[in-house]
Amino acid sequence: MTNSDLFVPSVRRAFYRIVALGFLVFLGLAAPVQAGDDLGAPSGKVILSISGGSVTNVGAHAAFDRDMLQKLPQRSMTVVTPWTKGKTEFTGPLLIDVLKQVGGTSGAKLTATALNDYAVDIPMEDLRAYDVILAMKMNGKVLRVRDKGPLWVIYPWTDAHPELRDERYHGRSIWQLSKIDIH
Amino acid sequence: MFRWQYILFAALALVVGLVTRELFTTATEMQAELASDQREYRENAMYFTSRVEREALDLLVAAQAYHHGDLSVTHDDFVERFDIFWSRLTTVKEGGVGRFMRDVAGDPDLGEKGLTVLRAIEPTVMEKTARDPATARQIVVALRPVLDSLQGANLKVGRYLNFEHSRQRQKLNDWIIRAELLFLGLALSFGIVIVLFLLALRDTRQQIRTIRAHQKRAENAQATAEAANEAKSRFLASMSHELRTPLNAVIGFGRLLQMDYDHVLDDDGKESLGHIVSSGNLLLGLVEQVLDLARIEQGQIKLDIKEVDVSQLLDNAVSILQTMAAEKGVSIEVDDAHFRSVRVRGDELRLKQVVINVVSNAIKYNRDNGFVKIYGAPPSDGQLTLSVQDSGSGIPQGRQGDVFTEFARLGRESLNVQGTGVGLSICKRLVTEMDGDIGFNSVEGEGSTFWVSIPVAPETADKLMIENEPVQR
Repeated sequence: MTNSDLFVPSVRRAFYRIVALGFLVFLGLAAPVQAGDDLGAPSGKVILSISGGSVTNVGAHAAFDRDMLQKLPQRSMTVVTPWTKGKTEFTGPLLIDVLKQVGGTSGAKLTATALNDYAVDIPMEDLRAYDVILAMKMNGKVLRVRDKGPLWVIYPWTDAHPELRDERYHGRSIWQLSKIDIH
Repeated sequence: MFRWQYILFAALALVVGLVTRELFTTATEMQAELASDQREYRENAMYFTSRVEREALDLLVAAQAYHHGDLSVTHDDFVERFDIFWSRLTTVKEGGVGRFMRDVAGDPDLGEKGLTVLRAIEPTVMEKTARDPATARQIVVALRPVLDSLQGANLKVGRYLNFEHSRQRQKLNDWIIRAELLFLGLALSFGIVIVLFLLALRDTRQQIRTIRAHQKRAENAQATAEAANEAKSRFLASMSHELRTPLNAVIGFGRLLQMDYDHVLDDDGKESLGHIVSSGNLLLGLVEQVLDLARIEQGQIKLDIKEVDVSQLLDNAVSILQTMAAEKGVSIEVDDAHFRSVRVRGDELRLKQVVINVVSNAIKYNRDNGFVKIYGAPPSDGQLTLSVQDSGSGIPQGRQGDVFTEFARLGRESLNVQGTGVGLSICKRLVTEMDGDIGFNSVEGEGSTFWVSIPVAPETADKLMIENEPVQR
């Protein structure tokens, strides 16, 4: 005879109920923190979903549509890249600001994934050392998929940072970004 | 030895020069290599070109899947693939990495050709028509040449980059060899510097040894000289002493003979006896002088410094020499107007010895029937100066430096004037010991004037000051 045999079905059901209730209470307590007052739910098409932060809004992710990103402070940089013609102006929020929105700046690195499943790791210290932006516009025009949009990680490839003209940083400049995992 | 050092110096300069030049060249090359756009694009090109080809294939797969009824592929997915491929072709057409790719492939229109095809099929892709394998075929046929040219470009870029890699490996190898040479050069120059340093050290040590040897020799020589001088003094002292004893006997017995047996001797006998006694006395005087000099040199003379009445001392000395002067017909004149009451500080006996020596010289080296004048100047600077002027032949200019040198007789050795040549040097030492001085002026043919200066006794000095006061006013 084991102890479990002492549980009659009704008792067992009650036990399950209590456990389930406890779980719900736990979720209820945790939810307000997770939702975050400043991170609303996306109303338009989701173009970026971030996982690994402390704030989520859709399932286990923090999902952003264009408007949510547009509301963050915008930064413009005129840079030269190997993939564009001449000097090109890129505009968008700082990547670090986006991560702050989801409480995800304490990680060591990000794994960024593109629409075509290209993935690359970006060390968190890059974002602290440089003004890395999540470009949404190129030369004032909204980036489409055809222009390597809608989101493109851009490093400040200006004369002030010659050390960035390197394949390591070129590789981290992911186009058509759609997903970020914070580790 | 010096040749080695020069050769090493030259080698050092050469090695350092070569090393510097190599270093500079290598650094410049590396800098150029790292700074070139080519490097930036080359690094990105491998991945980029393979990706472009891959995106083309993905688009073909998406087209096939969509139109052949794969429901997991939506129209949006299909369009997204189309857009992604479009974005890649834009980069091929416009980007730096695209230019690199076009250059390597030798196909300047690579991107534009692809985009032309995309523009042609764009309506077909964008329009959300029913899924139709025929449409898929149409798209595949249109994209085929684009895919072919991209594959061709991809192959060429791959080959080029492989070649580039070997070239770079070669270059890196060259650089490593150069770095090794540089290291060797540096090690060599370091070695040379050490050798030079050791050589210099050896030289210095040798020089120090030589200097020490010289020093030792000089010290030895000095010690030998001092020992020899002392030995000489000791020898003179003992010799003089040994000579004095028999001499005293000769003189003593000579006098005894003169006193007791004078009446027995005839005139020749008396004369001979007189010569014996006077010569004995003279010899004794000379021996005494040599003994004095020896004592002075050994520092054995003790002066008894007291106040001395100069005029009295002078009278005393002159009276002793009066006989000697008379024999030569020399007159002695003393003018004590300026020192009649002056007292000086000195050893009375030694001072008298000095005065007698100087005055007797004035008589000895005088002409027959000449004169000797003794006079003084009023004391000044606490010193009384006595001058003794003679009417002799004077001291030749060339000999004047030897006057106070021991045993120097200024060419009078051959004359019949007796002396050892130590008298004046003894005088000089004695006067100096008494804080005085001795000197002379002489013109050859006109005579000499010797002077002796002696410190005036304090009381006299005070008195003199009072006496002189009215004059100074």
